[in-house]
Amino acid sequence: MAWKDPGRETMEGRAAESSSSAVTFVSLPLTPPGKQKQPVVDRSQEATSTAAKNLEYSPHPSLLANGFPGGSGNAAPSPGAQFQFVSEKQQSRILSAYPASHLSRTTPSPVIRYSVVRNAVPTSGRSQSEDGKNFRKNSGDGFMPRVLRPGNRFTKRVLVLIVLNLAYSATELIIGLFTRRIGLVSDAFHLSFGCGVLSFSLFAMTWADQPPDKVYTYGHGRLEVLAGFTNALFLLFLSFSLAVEALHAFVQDESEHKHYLIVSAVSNLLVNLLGVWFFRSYARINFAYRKAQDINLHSICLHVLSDSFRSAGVILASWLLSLGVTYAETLCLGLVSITIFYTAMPLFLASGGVLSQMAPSGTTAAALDKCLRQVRMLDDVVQCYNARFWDFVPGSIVGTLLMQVRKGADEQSILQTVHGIYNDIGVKDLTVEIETYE
Amino acid sequence: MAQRPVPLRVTVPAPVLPLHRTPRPATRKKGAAGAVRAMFRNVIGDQQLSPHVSNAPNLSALVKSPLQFIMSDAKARKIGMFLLLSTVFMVVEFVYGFHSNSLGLVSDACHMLFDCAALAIGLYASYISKLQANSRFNYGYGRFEVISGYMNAVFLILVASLIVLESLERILDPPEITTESLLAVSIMGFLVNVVGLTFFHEHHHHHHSGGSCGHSHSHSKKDLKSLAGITLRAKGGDYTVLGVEDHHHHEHDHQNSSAQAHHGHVHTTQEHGAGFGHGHLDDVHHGHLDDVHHRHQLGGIHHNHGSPCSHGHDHGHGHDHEYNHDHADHGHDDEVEHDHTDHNMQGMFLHILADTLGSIGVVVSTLLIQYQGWYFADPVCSIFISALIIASVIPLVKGSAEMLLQRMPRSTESRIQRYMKQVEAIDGVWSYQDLHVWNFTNAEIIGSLHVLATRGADREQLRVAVSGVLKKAGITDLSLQFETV
Repeated sequence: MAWKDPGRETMEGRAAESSSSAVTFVSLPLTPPGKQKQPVVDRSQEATSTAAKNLEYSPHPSLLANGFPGGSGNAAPSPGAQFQFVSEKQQSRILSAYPASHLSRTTPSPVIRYSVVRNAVPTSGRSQSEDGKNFRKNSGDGFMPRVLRPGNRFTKRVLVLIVLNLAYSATELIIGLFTRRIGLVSDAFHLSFGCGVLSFSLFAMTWADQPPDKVYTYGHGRLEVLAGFTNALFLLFLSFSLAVEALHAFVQDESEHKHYLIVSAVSNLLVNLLGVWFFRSYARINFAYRKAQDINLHSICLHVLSDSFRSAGVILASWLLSLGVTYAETLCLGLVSITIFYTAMPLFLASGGVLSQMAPSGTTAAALDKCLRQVRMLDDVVQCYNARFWDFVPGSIVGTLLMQVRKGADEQSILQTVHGIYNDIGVKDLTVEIETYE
Repeated sequence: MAQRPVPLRVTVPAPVLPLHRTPRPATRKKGAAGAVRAMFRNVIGDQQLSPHVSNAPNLSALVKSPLQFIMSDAKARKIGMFLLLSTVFMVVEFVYGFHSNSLGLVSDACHMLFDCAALAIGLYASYISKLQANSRFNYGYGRFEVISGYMNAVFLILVASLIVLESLERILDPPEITTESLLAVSIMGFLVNVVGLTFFHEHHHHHHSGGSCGHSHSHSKKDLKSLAGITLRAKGGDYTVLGVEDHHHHEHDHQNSSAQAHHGHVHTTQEHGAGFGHGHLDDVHHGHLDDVHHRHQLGGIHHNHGSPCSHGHDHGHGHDHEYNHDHADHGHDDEVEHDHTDHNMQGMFLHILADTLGSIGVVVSTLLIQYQGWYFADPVCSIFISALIIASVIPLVKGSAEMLLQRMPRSTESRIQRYMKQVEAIDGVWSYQDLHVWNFTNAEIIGSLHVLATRGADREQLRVAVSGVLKKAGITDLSLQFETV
């Protein structure tokens, strides 16, 4: 990366610790009590290691990643470079061989840079490849290659499930058409109905890693949450329609339950149990979501689980009918409908909460409160209000904060301290507005 | 008229909850339009339900406040009445179907049940989105209407595809359909749904005749089109008429754009619903004059309502905005190209539209079967109508999904470059970073920006200037972080 070098030269005069690469950081004059600088060093090491790997950007020396986790790809949902708005003025400053006067900031006040400059081209909508570096390994690829590439194993599993489902439905359809049994045809359709939502989840899994661009400024990770929400909606819809079917069976005196459908129900059950096995690590009702893909995969697991419930219910109903229990179908379908509703509700509420910008709850809320208290206890901070936080994706918190600072205080250092406090609990994007208290 | 005492939000237990919302000056909604409406607004608007609800859900409050809201708001009242009508009709259908043991009636009643459920959810979502922000929802509940619109759209797509699948089955194996009672019932259902459609559409008519807005509306002609016309346009995805404003006005030059920001201030202090005619003219006028002559001073005026208040008054803004958004739109769209589709309303409208089309389809196919004996008419009609429904729902899905994914609003997207250049050109701005702009609801656009300022720049002045530019760009809730280079 050619333009790293000028940075290194100009960095000499700075009173700063520097690691072997061009990533440097500035020591804080105002260190909050109890905070070590040690973690920051680790993160810069991490940044350099990712730089050694396939890193698509290199941090501008003066605009350094002060341990900002979002700069280096850790558990953030988009491990690649964040393509964000940087003004052209800024960009030209970086790309050109700038005179040292721009950068010779020898003042004691630290320079805060929590974001890493990326070579973003705000004006054009062209892809990032024009910078001469490839931003993403996969960015230019279409949907199918990304799915088939040996990447995320869950992607492959979902693909396997979808293919199995479609293959089974196709054979059933053909058999039904040939033998003129409409029950098989309708069953084939009903079995493959859920594949649409599964393919949306698959699309979300492959698309979510894309780097942020001009219109999706935070990245595409939220697509996974949306896919999980859609899955939850589908499950609720499924439970409603099963309830309606149960009602149908209740109203009708004779059950039009065709017994040759047992075979298809059993095989559907097997396929769905295979799916549950694939996603067995997500087979819980209340799941603590830590990453973006958690919601998506949890929703897929609940989907196949509910489908297996339904097949099991159908099998049970036909068995009970053969035993002579009246209203067996109503009972079984009603039971299955209630179960599916009960399992889908927590997912629906959680993903709906993320989508509606609900504040992070549970331990994260307590951590945020603690950070707020710490910020309020800083010197020169008069008041701190309007702290609004929301999950972009579970695990990645965005927030804004409004502070009133005594006049004459060193605002930059306060800013850096606040950012440091919130960084440690995973707030990736924080915007702090500082007002001067007269 | 005894008003309930408004609980002061400041006295919410401070050591426990962070004071994340500044004490917003209580909006004095004294105005015209009757003391009754003002009283209801005071009850709903100023009273924050969440201290009660979050601590100990008081069941009567939980039930009463939505009902109060429904009764107070004109549009919600109409929807509530339609919901009641639908429910009554559905119950009658259920009873009659069970009594005469007709499966068709029972299934049609179940279909109406879905409809009523969607309406009830939409109504409740529109109530919830008016609630104040609290510690759980720091920005407020406004997103619920977008979510409910998305839910309605997804359910419609699922229902329509199910109907397509069933129709395919029926084409292969046409069952015998008894058509006597079905015809009468479906005609009655069609009439009920047409009533609902007019409820949704009337709002558009009503305000439009009263609106005195400067710019020309392309859809004024479309008000007179028939239902079939609406259907066709729905299929084409043009939502200008469908009871919900979807403005994509060409952009006037940005001299006018500050009036939009000015609007925001006026909303909190003025009775919006009643005197909107006057309010609009004043605001638009104000905005023009101010912006043309005093660019920085306008920023100064903005500064009084700066960050603490701008966060605070958002919800007043959104509050008035949601149902009267058609009113507000006219003032807004003079300046800023806004996409003001209320996804909630759009979702409910599409649901009722889908039901209407279904009834039409049943009537048509029944007639065809009775008089022509074409038994395949039923599935073919159903497929056709389902295709129509899916085509009309796709814009809603795209719009609400984009909002949920925090995409930059389309109206802002095209102009953001220009405005960012203006920001850069401001004295004292070295550069900027991390611009994020997204739609919170259709009416609120939230943005955040890190500005790198040169040393020695007057930060307050910079803030005023930058926020002025960005408010012209349409961002209603802006967070600015200044760093000194």
